Amino acid sequence: MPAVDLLTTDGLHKHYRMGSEDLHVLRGVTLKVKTGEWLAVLGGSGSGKSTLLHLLGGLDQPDEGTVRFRGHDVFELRGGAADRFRNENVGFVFQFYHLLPELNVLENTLISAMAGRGMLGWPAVRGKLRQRARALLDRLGLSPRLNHRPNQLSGGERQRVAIARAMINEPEILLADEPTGNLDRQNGKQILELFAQLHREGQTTVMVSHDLHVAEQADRVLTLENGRLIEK
Amino acid sequence: MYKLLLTFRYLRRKLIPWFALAAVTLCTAMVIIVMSVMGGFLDLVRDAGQSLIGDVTVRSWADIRGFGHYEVLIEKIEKLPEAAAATPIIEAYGVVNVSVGESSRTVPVMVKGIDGPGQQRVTGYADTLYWTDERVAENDVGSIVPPGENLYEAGSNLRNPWEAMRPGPAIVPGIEVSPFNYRQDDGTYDMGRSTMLASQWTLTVQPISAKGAIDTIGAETRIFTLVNEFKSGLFEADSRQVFIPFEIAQRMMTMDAAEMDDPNDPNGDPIPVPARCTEIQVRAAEGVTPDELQEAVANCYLKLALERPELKLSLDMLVLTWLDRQSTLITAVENEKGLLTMLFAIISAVAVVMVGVIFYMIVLQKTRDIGVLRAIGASRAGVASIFLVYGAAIGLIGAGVGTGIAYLFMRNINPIHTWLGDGLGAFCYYFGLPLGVGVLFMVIGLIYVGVQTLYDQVWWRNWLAVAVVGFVLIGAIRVAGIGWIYLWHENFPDFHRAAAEKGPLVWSGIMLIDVAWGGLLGGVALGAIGGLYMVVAQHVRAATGVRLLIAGGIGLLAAVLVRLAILNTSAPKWLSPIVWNEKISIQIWDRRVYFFEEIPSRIDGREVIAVVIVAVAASIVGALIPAISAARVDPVESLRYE
Ligand SMILES: Nc1ncnc2c1ncn2[C@@H]1O[C@H](COP(=O)(O)OP(=O)(O)OP(=O)(O)O)[C@@H](O)[C@H]1O
Ligand SMILES: [Mg+2]
Repeated sequence: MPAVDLLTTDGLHKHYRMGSEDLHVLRGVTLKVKTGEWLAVLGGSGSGKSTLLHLLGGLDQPDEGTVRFRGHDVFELRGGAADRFRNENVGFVFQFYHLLPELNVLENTLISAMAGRGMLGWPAVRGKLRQRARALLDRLGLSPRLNHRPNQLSGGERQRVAIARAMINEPEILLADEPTGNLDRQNGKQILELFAQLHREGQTTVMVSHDLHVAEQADRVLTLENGRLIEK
Repeated sequence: MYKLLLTFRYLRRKLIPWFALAAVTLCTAMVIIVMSVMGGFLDLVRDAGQSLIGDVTVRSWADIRGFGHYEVLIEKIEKLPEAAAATPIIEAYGVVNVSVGESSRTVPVMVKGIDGPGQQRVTGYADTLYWTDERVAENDVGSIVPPGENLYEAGSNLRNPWEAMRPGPAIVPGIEVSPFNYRQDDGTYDMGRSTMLASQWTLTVQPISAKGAIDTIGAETRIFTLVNEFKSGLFEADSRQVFIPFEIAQRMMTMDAAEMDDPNDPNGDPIPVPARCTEIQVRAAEGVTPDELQEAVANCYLKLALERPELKLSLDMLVLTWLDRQSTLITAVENEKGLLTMLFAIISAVAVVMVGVIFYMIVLQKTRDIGVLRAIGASRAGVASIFLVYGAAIGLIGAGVGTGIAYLFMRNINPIHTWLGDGLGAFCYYFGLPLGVGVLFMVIGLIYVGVQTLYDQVWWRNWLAVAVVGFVLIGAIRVAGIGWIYLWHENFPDFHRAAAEKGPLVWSGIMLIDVAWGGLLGGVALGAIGGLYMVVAQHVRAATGVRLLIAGGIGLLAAVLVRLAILNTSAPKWLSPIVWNEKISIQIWDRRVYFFEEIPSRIDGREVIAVVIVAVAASIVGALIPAISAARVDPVESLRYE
């Protein structure tokens, strides 16, 4: 399958205004992500990495510029369509895991599959998705912990659950915000190995990090500096 | 699907929703109890009405001189398939003098001349006769009654030939007419045995001629023999009504058959004047409604009037159902019921606010999780509906449990009432409304404890804070209660008298002390429960609800023990705020005084369903604003923080 442009941005600008101060975080970010590509964005703390990732996933709106997914403007989607787009095509792995404390590992994994389906749609696919979730968690080495709650897990385990949650809907693109930022070396390595595996299976991934060693694992590294992306 | 999942998880893992649940439960129970008591009250008014006056009455329109040829009419009516029985009545106003030896009492009464067996068939009035065989035996007067003729038999058939043996014809007054009957604490009567049969009953009525003229010279007076007393359960009747035999009443009122000079021909034959009665009471046949009977009887009367013009039947007649006749009282009670239900519904609005506040707190606490859900593609409507489903669940469970509590309460309302009255000496002070408000404030106080407990682990500080809040809240309840009573105090004779006796200064002093003391103790109690919960939470590993139950149980037990200790030892009685209450409150349901014999109750399925629906709807409404704010959570903003 020939690689095509999956996600493209054009001159993205993002300001944060606080009273009279104007923080111009992104100053014209232009980017192309091809299918199957593993892209890393390297940047210091506060450089706007998370901001960029949120824009790429359609979670936040830019002040200027566009984000296109397979050629369609993401921000033209309204309401329910935008939610469905995120649910079906984008898998988020957040900087701080953000698992739901009331749910166990299996339920946390399934929650994004549930969120995309109505009360009536869910029972029909429940069996299939539970199986997929089990397989996924098995692969991530979490099968003995299906019924544990997030506060009973280590940081690395939590991050793996977060990855499972992002992958359960088999998204076109995986957006990972500092996936190793809160982990020790050992756990960090494991997670990166996981990304590499997914990459070999053809998963398109955009990962942001402030750590060069982490970013280097990707196919391509871009640096976010002064609100712009620079290819190294 | 995640909505249901999260709803149930939130319900199970959080303490706060239990308070919302408690509020909904209490409000539901309260409204159902009020509606049921008032409904029972209505039923009682209706039953009492029916047993006193039959299903349908035929009477002259605005005229007490009565109407003739009633025998013919009764014969016709009794042939109607709709009617089971009919009986004539003479209703008159009179004065009765009851005397025993030196003491006597004269009271105005409504005199009802009845035909014993006929009255029994129409209204079953023998069931209301108070002195049954057992009661007569209990009162040890059996020996005074002539052998073979006890009061009960005599009373159920007023045409007993006692007239010949006794100084006068029989009279059956209401149980409260005689000044010698003493109503005891338990609601039964001590007949004042030696006096009852010795009492002399003198009844005076004012006869009215067939033309409506009042015979100004000839007030009719007769001495009667007391043969029994009746108790309908309706104080109105029991204190102001006497039954005497129909013929006697007819004669006293000069309503019996007579002859009259023909005004056009003074020398001709006198014109016969038929015997009269003032009304005919009819009982409906099985399965016939009063309205159907009313129509049949009215038609029957008209037909008779047309068929037999020689009877000169008046067309100025009314055919009334018992409902028509009781309508003023019934309407008043219905209005009362509507009003009370509305008041309690307003109180229940507080529950809505509470559900709202509690859910809003959950939304605040869960903002990040909501952001996560939105980020992974849950729609605004989806996250909003978590809270709506949540509200509905709390509404359903609360309404269900509330209905159960109300049901148990209603089934045992009289024992509970007696227990409250005897066992704890508690007075139903401040009546229902402030009490309801009080319960709700208590719940709010407990919520405060819950919230403090969640956010702050220093239990004694909660204890102190809650004690202060409790003090203020309970003080407020009491001020509200006293204010309420003050506004209405003319309706409470005891209160009125006390207010007059003690003077405004003493009075306000007592109130202030009551407010302060009650508020302080209430606050301490609330705080103690909060502290207890903290202690239990630290030492008992169990579900939140179980811990709450344990803490509540210990708290309740301690309160009862303290109370018993104060009352049963030489500890100063003023330690108990109830002592203060007693000074300024009125016992609402003193069993020595009655309007009705027991606290009536009737659970109406349709009303319960309506209350449950409203409770669920109210909970959903309460959840609405939190749900909207959940929908407005900005995922990016909420995800920024760890
Ligand atoms: N809602 C906001 N209001 C004001 N300033 C904001 C807001 N969101 C982000 N910023 C600012 O924008 C800049 C970029 O933020 P962002 O979170 O994208 O940085 P980052 O590169 O992800 O940093 P880190 O590596 O620490 O996560 C920061 O200086 C931050 O303070
Ligand atoms: Mg960041």
